[in-house]
Amino acid sequence: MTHKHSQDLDSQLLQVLDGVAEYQQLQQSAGVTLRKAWFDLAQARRSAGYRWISPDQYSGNMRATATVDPETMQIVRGVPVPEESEAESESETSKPKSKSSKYTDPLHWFGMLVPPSLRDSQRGFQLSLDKLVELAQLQRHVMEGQRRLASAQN
Amino acid sequence: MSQNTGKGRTLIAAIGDEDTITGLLLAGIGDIDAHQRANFMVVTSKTTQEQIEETFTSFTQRKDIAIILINQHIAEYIRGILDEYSAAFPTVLEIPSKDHPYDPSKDSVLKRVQLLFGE
Repeated sequence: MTHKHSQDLDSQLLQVLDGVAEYQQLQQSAGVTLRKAWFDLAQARRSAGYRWISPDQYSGNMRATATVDPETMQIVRGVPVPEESEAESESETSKPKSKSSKYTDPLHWFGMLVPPSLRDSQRGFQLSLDKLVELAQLQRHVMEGQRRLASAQN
Repeated sequence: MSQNTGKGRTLIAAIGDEDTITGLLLAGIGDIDAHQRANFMVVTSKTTQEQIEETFTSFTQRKDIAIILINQHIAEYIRGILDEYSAAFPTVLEIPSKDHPYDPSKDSVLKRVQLLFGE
């Protein structure tokens, strides 16, 4: 093994270890955000009643609005359909308000009027999800580095 | 062999307890497709290890899932197959739960890195 080659391996190893340190820090950070989100969710359950915020309320037709871009693996968020579209009311000023509006915001599975703590919880989970997607990205880089090093060792 | 690249993969799947799944669904990851396939699973006290394994395996075989989130305490039930799992896609990420904080000593990812330093 040449000197340069072993130097390359050392720097690759350092990169993996740096990645691991960053990964652990981000896990801690995500944990903090998640704990607050779970706390708010528990508050919401206490306000609304435990029966009313449960899997029984999950929609049967849900489609994902938070996804990842397959090229960059970054999070992508679709805009939930609002109850009354601003654009529609601009073009047809006398259009009557629709009663059967389509909601893709999961918040409204749990009712039209939800406790503020449920909104807080949703924000907390959205923030957490940002960190988790970043963690997944980081994990892939670390694992790629680990795989390269492991095969260089053999 | 299914393609193991990021291409076409957009969904974030999740296997977790009720609090975690409700939260992640609020954040918008939930998807039930035209074939009634859900990208999430709520694990309760009645859920068996086989069911968790089956769901995990089916998620890893889907070509539209980019990331699988799993509560670490639930990951423990399928630790064997997780430690064996080495594909880049979908990426499997262990996350804490309300009652079980993240434990680095159990993380399959960190165990892999330790292998670099000998067993």
